[in-house]
Amino acid sequence: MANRFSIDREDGFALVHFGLVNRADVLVDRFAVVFTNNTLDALKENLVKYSDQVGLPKKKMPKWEPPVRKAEDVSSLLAYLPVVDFVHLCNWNDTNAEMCFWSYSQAQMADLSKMGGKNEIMTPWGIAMLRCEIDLQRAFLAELYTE
Amino acid sequence: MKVVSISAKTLVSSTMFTVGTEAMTSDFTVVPTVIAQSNLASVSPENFGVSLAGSGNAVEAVATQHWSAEKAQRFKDLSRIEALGVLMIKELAELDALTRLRRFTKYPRTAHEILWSRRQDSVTSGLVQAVQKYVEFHEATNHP
Repeated sequence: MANRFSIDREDGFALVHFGLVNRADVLVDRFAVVFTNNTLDALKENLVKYSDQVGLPKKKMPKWEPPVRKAEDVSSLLAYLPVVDFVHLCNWNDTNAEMCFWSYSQAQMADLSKMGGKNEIMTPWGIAMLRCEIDLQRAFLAELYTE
Repeated sequence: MKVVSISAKTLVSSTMFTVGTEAMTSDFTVVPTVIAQSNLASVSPENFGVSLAGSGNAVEAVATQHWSAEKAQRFKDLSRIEALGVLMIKELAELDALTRLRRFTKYPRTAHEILWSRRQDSVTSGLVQAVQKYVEFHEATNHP
């Protein structure tokens, strides 16, 4: 679950942070993923068209700066920053939204492509499923492709 | 409403973090949420490494609204009424919904066009705010 997000643009990739902040303004959970610029380009048509359908956020999302966390300060598991290849989005009741982050092996994709078989199905693996209010999803998508 | 039975074992085994979950074999029943919009035109659970118990079932996760001849006629009628007179609020909302649906299904825009349009809206909004400030300034102050 998330009610905050933040996007750090770096050379060649974007680091996306999601956070869950309670009423006392305490960060109770967080999650981060990496989108390479190649992936952002590849997903642009799909995500921007979806964003157009759901529209822009109706309320302004609070600005959030995630506390800095260096890899050496935390365990290797917490420092794990998965790279996203695909995002599956949906929303319902005009209030709830879901974002599922998926990843797959480019090498496996290339191998399958070389085999030339038809109807080859590659199984990606799930990184995370995030539930949020629809306005967070709207704001996230709008900011992801702000030029 | 469509009900899909999902094997917990199947679901869990599709994730990369699962090790030794053979004990989880109980099935459960879910009622899929009626999804308003999704970024996939059609969903095949197998694409995500998830297979549903009972292969005849597939989770419907696409926008359920489609453009039709009836909607096209209604759009035409409402557009005519809007041009000739005043639409009621309910009709205005319906025309707005039909306009959006028509745009998405009949005349979809590219990502570039959508982003360009958003930039244009943002620039226009900035311009309107600047003009408003200009007018307020001249209304509220006396020239020296």
